[in-house]
This record gives sequence, C-alpha cells and structure tokens, in this order.
Amino acid sequence: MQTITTNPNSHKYWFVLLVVTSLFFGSCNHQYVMADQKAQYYKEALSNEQPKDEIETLISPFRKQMDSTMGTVIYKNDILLEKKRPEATLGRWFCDIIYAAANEMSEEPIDFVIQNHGGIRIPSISPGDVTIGKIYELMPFDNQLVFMKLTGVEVEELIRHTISLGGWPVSQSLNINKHGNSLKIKIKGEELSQTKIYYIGLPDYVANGGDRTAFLVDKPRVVPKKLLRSIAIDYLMMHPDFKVKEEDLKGRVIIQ
Amino acid sequence: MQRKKFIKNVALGVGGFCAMPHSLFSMGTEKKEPIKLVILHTNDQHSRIDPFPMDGGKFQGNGGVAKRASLIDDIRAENEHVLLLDCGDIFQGTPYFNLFNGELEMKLMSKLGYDLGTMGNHDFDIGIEGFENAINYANFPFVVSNYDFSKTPLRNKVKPFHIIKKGPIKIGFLGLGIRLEGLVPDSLCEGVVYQDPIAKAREVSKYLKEQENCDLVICLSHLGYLFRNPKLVCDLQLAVESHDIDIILGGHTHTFLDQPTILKNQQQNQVIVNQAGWAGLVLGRIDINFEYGKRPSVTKLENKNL
Repeated sequence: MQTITTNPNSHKYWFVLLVVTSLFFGSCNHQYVMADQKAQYYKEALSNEQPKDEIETLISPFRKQMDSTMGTVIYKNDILLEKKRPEATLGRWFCDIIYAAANEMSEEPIDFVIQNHGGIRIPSISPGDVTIGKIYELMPFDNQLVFMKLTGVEVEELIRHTISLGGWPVSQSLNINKHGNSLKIKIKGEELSQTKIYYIGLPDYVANGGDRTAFLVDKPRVVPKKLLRSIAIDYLMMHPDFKVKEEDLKGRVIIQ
Repeated sequence: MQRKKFIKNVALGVGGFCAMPHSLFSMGTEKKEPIKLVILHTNDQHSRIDPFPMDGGKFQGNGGVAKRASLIDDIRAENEHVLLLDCGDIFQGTPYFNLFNGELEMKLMSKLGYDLGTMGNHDFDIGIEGFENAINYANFPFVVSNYDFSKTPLRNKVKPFHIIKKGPIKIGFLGLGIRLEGLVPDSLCEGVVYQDPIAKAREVSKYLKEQENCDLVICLSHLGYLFRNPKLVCDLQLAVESHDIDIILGGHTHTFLDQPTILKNQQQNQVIVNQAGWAGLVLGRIDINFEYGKRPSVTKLENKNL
C-alpha cells in the first residue's frame, strides 16, 4: 500500500481503489474471502522465495522412482513380526514362506529351511500393509536359495554351530531344544537320525561358508538360481492369504 | 576373561572428561586463542535415507538424512572447525541401494560435507567395481589401512592414511576394516588382502604421530565394538593394545553408547572409543579443546539421538 504514493503506476492505483471500495461496500463475507486469498498468496510467495530444502530436492526424484517400483502392497500382515534371539516371529514367518515356496520348487521334498540371523535386516514388521520394498529391507542381500543334502551328523553339526552363534530362524518343520549338554532335534516331528540324509534349504551365503560355516562348502547342492527375496515376494503375491498358524509361531529353538 | 577385563576397564573409564595424551599443540611461544575442534561421526548408515516409517516399529520417525543435515548445519553455524566422519557400511538396507547402487548415499554424504569415510563389509556388497563406481559420486576420500588394494581397481582410490588440517590443527587418520573371509563372498572382494589390524594400526598411527607430527590421531574402524567371541579383534582391544591413537570411532556391531568409552593404551594414555548405533539414528560428537602449551582436552562427549 505504501508504494502507491511513490509509484504512479495507474492500474495498481485502480486495483487498490477497487479493493478499498470493495472493503467499504462489500459484505463481511467478501472481506474474509479477500483475507484468505491474501494469506494464501503470501504463503505461496513465501514458499517460492525460500530456497527449497536441498536434501529433500536431492532425494525426491530417487524416492519417486523407488516408490513406483517398491511401493506395491503385496501382503496384509496382522501381527507384529519381530527379530529376536534365538529366533522369533519375523524369522519364523520368513522361513515358513521360503519353506512353502521351496517345496513347490523342488522335486524332492525339503525337510527344513534355515536362515542366518544376520541375513534378516529389519528389527520388525508391524501389522498392516507389506510392500515389495519392505521385503527388500528384510532381505536386501542378493542371497540365493540353495538346496543341500546333509547327513544327520552334518545337520547336527550345523545346528550346534547356529546355537553357538545365539540361534538362527528355522521353518516350522524343525524343532531344537538345547538344555545344558542335552540337545534334542526334531525334523518333521521325528527325532533326528544320524544316518538319514536330509534335504534342506538355506541361503547361498551360508552354503558358501558365510558366518563361519566352512564345513558346508563342499556339500552336494542344487542351486535353482533364484534370490530368496524374489522367492518371498513371488510367493506372497501368489498366496496373499498365507498365514503362519498361531501354534507354529511358538519358539522353535529353545536354548537353556 | 578378556571380556571381563574390558568391561572392568570400561566401568572405570566411563565418566569424567579426559586430557588427551599428547601435547603437540605447543609449537610457538606467542599467545593465541584456544581452538575448539568438533568431531561428528556416524556408522552403519545402511542406506537409511528416510526416517523409519510411522508403523509402530521401535525406531518409528527416527533417523533420516534431512534431520541429520539440519543438526550438522546448526553445529557448523556455531563452530568453525568441524569434522564429519563415517565408519563404514554406508550401503545395504533399503531399496535405495538395490535400485541405485550407492549413488544417492554418496551424493547425500557429499552434500552433508563428510570429510572422510572408511569401508565396512557391506560396502563390498556390489563388488569392488560397484564401490568404485559409487565413490565417483563422493567428494570426500576413503581410508583403509589394513586392506591391501594394490591388486584391485581401488588402488590409489582408497587411501592407507589421510591427513586433514582444521585451522592450525593437524589431524591424522587411519582406517581399519574387518576380516573379510567368511563375511564377504570371495567374488566380491577379489584381490583384497586383509592385514592384521592391530599391527597395521600401530605402524600407521606411529607414522602419523612421529613423522607427520599430527596433533591428533583418529582411527575410523569397522572392526566392531566388542564380540561374544573374545578371539575376534574389536575396538576395545585395539584401544588397550595401541600406542598412538587418541580416538577410535567404530562401527559394525551397531552399538548404541550413552557416552563414549575411555580406556588406557599401552602408554597409560587415555583413548576414547565411540560408536553411533546404526541407520543414522545417532550422531556421535566429541569436542576437543586445543590450547597452546597445554594438552588437548575433551570438553564434550555427546551421542545425540536423531
């Protein structure tokens, strides 16, 4: 308004005159509309003048691209899934998905699936929508599924190793109970037999000696060349009703 | 036993600020203003660019590069001499990494003004060439002293030591990487030769103190703070077995510390060991005051939750 006196620009003057007259003759409603528009105008002007947050500007195009591929909801989760030692709901849920998918993929039935604790990378999945991106966060590594033949003795060696590391998630077909020096292992409801040959699913990271499992490196194996993450995503997309039964979510590895 | 000894030492060391062992900042006789150096650090960012989502999870709403950037801006506005450092595992953890192979992480760290980083085991997740490509987007260097990269494309790209001058203060850096065998698939770190971190640390820190006359020697480590298995080398062991390191900033074990641990080295001088959780949930901070004719002293130890 102050500029009017110093600036003889005529249409600004007429605009102001119009505003002033409308203030005099207009209704109260008009005044409010005017005030709102003005507020909106200043709000926009301010946000345009301020330098946009540089960090947000840098991230934004990457996030848009990420959300377009990763934001797809593939599953509705109804319980809190958590990562804990020795193993907990998140690991059980993931191992059961891989176990179910592995049995669909393999010609021979799979006895159990085991997953290294460190391979699961998020502390929890909350109840609600699960996106493709969430499965990437759970399993960001390009780890592949490996099927491996092990004798009962070798299975026990692997299980003892995982216990020494604090316990790993396993599928519902495997139960481990370590109490002092006694170790009880049940596979598909039956006690582990030292002489039987078992067919198991595990990440290539572990099969190739990761987490100090060098004793597995030369064991016979089949590699279907599929990422664990992709197997889980595909399985959930095909089986949106997949649920781990309440009783199966109880502890599978007990270390006392 | 080793672990017990560490914990005992830690318990004794925690609390009170300490005077740094060396008094190299005493050159010249003219009276000058004291200088404050603010050391900021992160580790195990794991591609956590955005805050954790508001889904009821443990860390919901926490972290995020934007929040860290504004805190760092505030600290820089108040302090002339600020160092911003990272202790490895920048990569792997969100689809940002799977989709863009570390480009965004490096661009953001450059924007935040990082001075130096070291490599974690996950920084090999897309192989040596993958890391080499990603650091094309970084405007700051990387230091690892105990990986021999001479037979890899990273020779001349990752430095065995580094020196930064902040005002008149000369700060020497070494970097220590974890044993790769059994942790990183051979195909992803082909040609990298792992060397004993303690021996290498002694050699490089001695050089930085005695030959380069650094006022302060900082080790960026990805060895891990402490392990259940006492045979594994860790930052606490490094601290008590070292001679010339003043500060060890660590990573790998995702350790949250209320405040840094203070231990005594082989010469009974104090060493500060710190780690800042993971995922950009914490910004570690150590302020050091340099006064002519006096030993540098620690004036602030703060691990700020973000």
